[in-house]
Amino acid sequence: MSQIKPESSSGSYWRSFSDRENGPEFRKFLFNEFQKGASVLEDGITRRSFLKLMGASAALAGVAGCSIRKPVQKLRPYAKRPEDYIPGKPVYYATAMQVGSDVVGILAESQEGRPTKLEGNPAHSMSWGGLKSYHQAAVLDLYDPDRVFYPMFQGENSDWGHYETWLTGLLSSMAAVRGEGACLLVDSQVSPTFSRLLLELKKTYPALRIFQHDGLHSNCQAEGIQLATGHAMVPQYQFEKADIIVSFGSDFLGVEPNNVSYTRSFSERRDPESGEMNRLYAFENHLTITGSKADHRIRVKASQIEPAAWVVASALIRQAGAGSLSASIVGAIHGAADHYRFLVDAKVVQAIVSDLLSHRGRSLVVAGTQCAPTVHALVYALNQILGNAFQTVVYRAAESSEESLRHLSDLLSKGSVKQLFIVGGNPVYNAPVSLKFAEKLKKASAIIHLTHAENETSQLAQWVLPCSHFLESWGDLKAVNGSVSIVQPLIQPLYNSRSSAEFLSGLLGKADTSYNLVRATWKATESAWKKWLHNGVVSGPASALPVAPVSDHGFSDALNKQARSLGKASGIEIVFPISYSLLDGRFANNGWLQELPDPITKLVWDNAALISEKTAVQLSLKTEDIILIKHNGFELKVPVFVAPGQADESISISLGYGRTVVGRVGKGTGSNGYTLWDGAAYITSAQVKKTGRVYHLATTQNHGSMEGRAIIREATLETYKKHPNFAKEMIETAPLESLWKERVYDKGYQWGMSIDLSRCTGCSACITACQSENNIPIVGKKQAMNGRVMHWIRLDRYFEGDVDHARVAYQPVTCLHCENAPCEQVCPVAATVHSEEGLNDMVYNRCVGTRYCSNNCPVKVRRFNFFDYHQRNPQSVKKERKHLFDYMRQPDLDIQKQFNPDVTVRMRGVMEKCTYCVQRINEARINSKLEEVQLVDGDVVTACQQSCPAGAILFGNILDPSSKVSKAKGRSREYHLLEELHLKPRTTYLASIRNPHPSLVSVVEAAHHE
Amino acid sequence: MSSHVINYDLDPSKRVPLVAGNNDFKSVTDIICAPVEQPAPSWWWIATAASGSVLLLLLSMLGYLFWEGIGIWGLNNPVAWGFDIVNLVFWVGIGHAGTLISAILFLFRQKWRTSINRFSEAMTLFAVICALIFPAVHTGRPWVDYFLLPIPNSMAIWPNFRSPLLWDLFAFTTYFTVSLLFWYVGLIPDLATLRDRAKTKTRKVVYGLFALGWRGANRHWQNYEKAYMILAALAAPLVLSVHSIVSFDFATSQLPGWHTTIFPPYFVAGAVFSGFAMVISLMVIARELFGMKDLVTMYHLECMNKVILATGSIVGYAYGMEFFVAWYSGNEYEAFAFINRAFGPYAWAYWIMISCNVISPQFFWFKKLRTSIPVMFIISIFVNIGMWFERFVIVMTLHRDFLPSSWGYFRPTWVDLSTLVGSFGLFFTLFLLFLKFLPMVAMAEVKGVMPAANPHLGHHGEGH
Repeated sequence: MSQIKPESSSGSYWRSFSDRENGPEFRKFLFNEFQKGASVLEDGITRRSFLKLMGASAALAGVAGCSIRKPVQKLRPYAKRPEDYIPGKPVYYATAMQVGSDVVGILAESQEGRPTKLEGNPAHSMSWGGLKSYHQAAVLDLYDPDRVFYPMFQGENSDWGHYETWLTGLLSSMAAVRGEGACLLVDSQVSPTFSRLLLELKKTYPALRIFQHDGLHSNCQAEGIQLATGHAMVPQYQFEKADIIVSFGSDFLGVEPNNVSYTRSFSERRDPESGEMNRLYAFENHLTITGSKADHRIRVKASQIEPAAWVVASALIRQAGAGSLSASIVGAIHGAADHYRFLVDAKVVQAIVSDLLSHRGRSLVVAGTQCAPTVHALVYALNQILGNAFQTVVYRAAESSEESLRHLSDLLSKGSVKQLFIVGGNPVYNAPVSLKFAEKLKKASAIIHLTHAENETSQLAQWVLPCSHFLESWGDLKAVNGSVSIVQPLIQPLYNSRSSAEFLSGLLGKADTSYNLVRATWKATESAWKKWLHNGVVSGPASALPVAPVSDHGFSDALNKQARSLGKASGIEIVFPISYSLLDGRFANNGWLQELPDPITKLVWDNAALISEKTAVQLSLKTEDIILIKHNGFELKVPVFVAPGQADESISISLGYGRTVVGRVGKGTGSNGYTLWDGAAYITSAQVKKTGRVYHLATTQNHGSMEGRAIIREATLETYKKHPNFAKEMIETAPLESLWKERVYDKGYQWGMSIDLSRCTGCSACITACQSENNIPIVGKKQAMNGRVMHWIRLDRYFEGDVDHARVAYQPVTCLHCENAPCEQVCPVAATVHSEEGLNDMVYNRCVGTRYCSNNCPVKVRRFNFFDYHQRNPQSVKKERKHLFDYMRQPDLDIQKQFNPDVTVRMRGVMEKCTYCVQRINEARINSKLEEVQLVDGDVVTACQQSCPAGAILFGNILDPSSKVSKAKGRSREYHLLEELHLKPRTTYLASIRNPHPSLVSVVEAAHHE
Repeated sequence: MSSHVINYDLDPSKRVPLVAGNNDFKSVTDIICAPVEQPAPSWWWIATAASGSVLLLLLSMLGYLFWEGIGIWGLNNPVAWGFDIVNLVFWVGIGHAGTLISAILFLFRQKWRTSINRFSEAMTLFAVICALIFPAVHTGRPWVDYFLLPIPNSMAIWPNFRSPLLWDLFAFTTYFTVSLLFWYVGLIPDLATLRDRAKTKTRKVVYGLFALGWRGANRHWQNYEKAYMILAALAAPLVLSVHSIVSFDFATSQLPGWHTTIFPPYFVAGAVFSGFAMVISLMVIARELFGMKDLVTMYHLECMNKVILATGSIVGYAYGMEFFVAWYSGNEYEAFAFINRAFGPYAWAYWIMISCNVISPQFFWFKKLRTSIPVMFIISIFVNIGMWFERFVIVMTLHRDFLPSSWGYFRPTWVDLSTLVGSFGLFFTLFLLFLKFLPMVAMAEVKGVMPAANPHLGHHGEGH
């Protein structure tokens, strides 16, 4: 090695000719390495000039530091990729969700370990792939920054260690007295594991008392059927088999248990091409989405729904005989009905009775879960007479329910409750008002509340413990039909929370994890367990109970009593429906649900006192007037909303609003109906006073009439059969031509959508599905009042006919993806352009925000970001200032985890609109290319289509003649919205068909043409 | 100004004199240069301070706008354009009188234009500046407005040439450039006069710089006349094109109430209407304050009032014709849009528009009224209000279109109102500066229409 001597470059190698020449010029160049303009410090530098230079550079460095440079942030890539994990590819897990006692199967989308979206599990018999808005919005609750983060003791932050030490002391004293004085209050529990633990608890502490309270739970059905049979049973309806449905105050499409599966099975029969259409008669107080789908809606006030049922039952029994009904019952029914014959038009009664009788075994009578037990007993009897049991309705044993809140309340007032453990729920907010539960709660010596977020109840608790979200913990749920699903978590608890089962295990003195607890319940083999997790279903529906004959278990007495008490009902009634979005207030801090328009009133961010026009005139009230309602010494101030279809002398106030202890989103929204509610569906003889003040309400649709335009096209089944092309014929146009040469779309995939207005129930699940899929911000009440709601899909709702008997029609409207899109022509920067696959694409980066496209959009589906709405969310946070140009706020860091990474988060100043879920189309296309196959029907499912419980939305390739969407588009009742504009929309509608009774058709038609 | 003088007499000396009083060339120069050369009167300082404050209001509103986003305006989903576009069309409309007076009347040899053309051209420029602010800032992301410019780029992305907004961009910039050049070319001889009369060094240098070395030589005059003529010929079609193109923003869309072929001529007439009204409003005050009644005579004002009467009647006819066509077309959406204008939620705006634009100019049928300074001032203000409301009514057509589900209502916010008021601050500030620093009447041209400039002065009757 030593022989080889590296030669210096200046030796033999030369860099240039001047180097080789090595003249004085070059030597000078080598010395002055930095040429012109660069000064080199000479030796003669003074201390003074050095300091000057240093000072200047320090100052400049300061300037640079505060504005341009970002601090170093380290990225940590996976050193080893987890198995089956492909960055950017979402993974779906089957799980299940419980709302009240209602269970739905869910497929949860996980993006890099973060659950981002919930979809219905098609394999689950209670969801069939569909979900309602509140199910889908539950994912937002997971990331809610207003959750309880850690255990809190007497309002101070604490930890589980402290709690456990405290609990150990408590448990030993409890054990000493066998649990005497200890009470446990749970909300609806349908988890086998939880039930198992409750049993264990009872064994450990025999004197422990367990109570149950849930704002969504009503025991009336089971009680009613017990009156008629002696067995506590609950019905499960099979609408798919029912030709004639009579509903007494039931909102089975709305928020009653099983509404997802009911919506699916009901809607299957609203499609005139796929079999015989059903016919729905609905008796109801205020317009519900069930009533809006009814072929005959009979408006009666809440206290008269039961008398209406008597009238129908009495007429039916007279014509069909009493079947196995005892004479006492029959007598009671006739006796009760006699005073109320005026309630329902005899023609209508006759139509219902003849329809029911001609469809024995294929008809169905249902009653609202909130209705009195006698109604349920009567309905049971009617279904029995009609032979519907086991045909259109099956019965299963009611889950044995624990003691009710009233008993707990009694115990509390006696002062005999020492420790009260509350698992979930919010009884202080939603207990019947006469219980004065909050006051009584103060008598308990220790209250331990396991809760998702702080609420009215946790405020009174000594210990507030964070409860895990269902996406954070293991569990199991049994649906009303007996099918069981495993609740599979998608993420470790974000905060220091425990599931309700883990909490109970703690009370047993153990510290089992939720996983072990569930595994212990099911004792499954590994392969069976994996299969359950994969499918999301452990077992299918349990078999139904045999039909119990109607026998008088206090039925006739109850009926007579009810007839007497209803006879005295007078004055203005206040009815308390469960809110379509917030339910019993459990979702009050959920922005998506607060901003989800009520299907009927289109109110957002508030509830209101719905009142009929006639009653409003009588009380000289108008929309937005604040009224004071007094009843039994309780009172409530609430703004009025004049609502079509509302019964006279009746005021409906949605529950779930007006929460006082709630997070930042739910603060100051609506009025609390629970301050009047006393456990029953309605109260009578309320005093209503005008206060003279006004409260402004926000609605997303201000105009409810179609103005005689052929927007939603509708006909009766009879008309449709005679004129199958009626929808197309409603508009006459001259041959239309485009100003430009029209592009031909005849190759590749051409996407299109078909929306069946006959199936659509207006439930608005699609809005939330779209919102969670597409990172759509909420805008808040003030912005909503100014028409700036950002939803890409909206549910247009129109009323027809006279105000009292208004018929309702819904139309989901989203970007129609017109082939001749008017928006595209006017955009000066070509930010909205057509794709080869027929999509009207929006290029956010290119958008300048002139809003011309929106002006030229005939259906006004474009949404403009007037502000940066994500930043203005009440839960947004100040951004850590890393450099000068950092925005001042950003979405909460946890909420950001919900964002769909496949969809751009739009900034202020750009236009946005429905993309047909282009991210899903692209993903499917890429996958198909990798697999070298063609996309087939069903490979691309848009978010709205996926969630729609009614199956009203179809999407696919319209060039594929076998696709569902092209078949739907080929139907005779297909029509184009605003066809006269020659838009050539890709989204088309199927006209709505109603099926009124022929003898009543003139009534309907008259109303139609009014 | 006796009423028996025949204004179209072949002998100019028999027509109504365009310069009244006992004025010669020198006195005309003195009158016009006085405001520029003498210290500004106290009212000027007060007015400038006031309008400057209003201008500051505009600037702060724009700052707020850039910071917060256009959500601070009252716009919403059906009504995506509001005061921004209303103000744009309003100011552009006002900007029409200048070019019309300068170019078209010049080409038609309407000599009465000479006293008012400088003034109205300045008004045009300032109005167009006010107008241009709105399309620039009304976008959601004004910092990318340059996407509208056809700048060659590596991705070969062009703006959409089918969009009327792009046509607007070209129309406005062309109009502004040509108007500016036209105004400036006309100013050159007068700037030279000011330079020659200047008593301070600064004035000499500044006016000298802008006078471009004008010496009043024969060749200068020949070139000047030619250039002026060419620019006039270029500007004349712009008078028609700009507002036609502005109207295309509405007419080429498919919104009922916007999509009408009558819009281009009706917009042009409306623009001239409002422009003349604005000239009257300003001129009536200026001639009073600067003692220029001899130069801007009642005859001038009367001529303008006649134009207001004519264009106002055209506008009124257009309003009627719109209704007729809406009914005659049998298009239910179109018919609804017009009934809704007159009887819907914005009926108040519609009837303000009708009373101001159709009824108020009819008073000018009477000579007594059209030659009365207070009457014409009040009517001109009414016309300006009416024309602002006309644009408001047109833009608000958005609030109820095809699907009743998306109907809405637009309420301006305080920012909308402040921005509108602020734009007047900009206009008046610019105008006051103009009055102070530039000759408000074209000296050279006025002299050209004086009897003294007539080579046949005193030899009439001999003929040619």
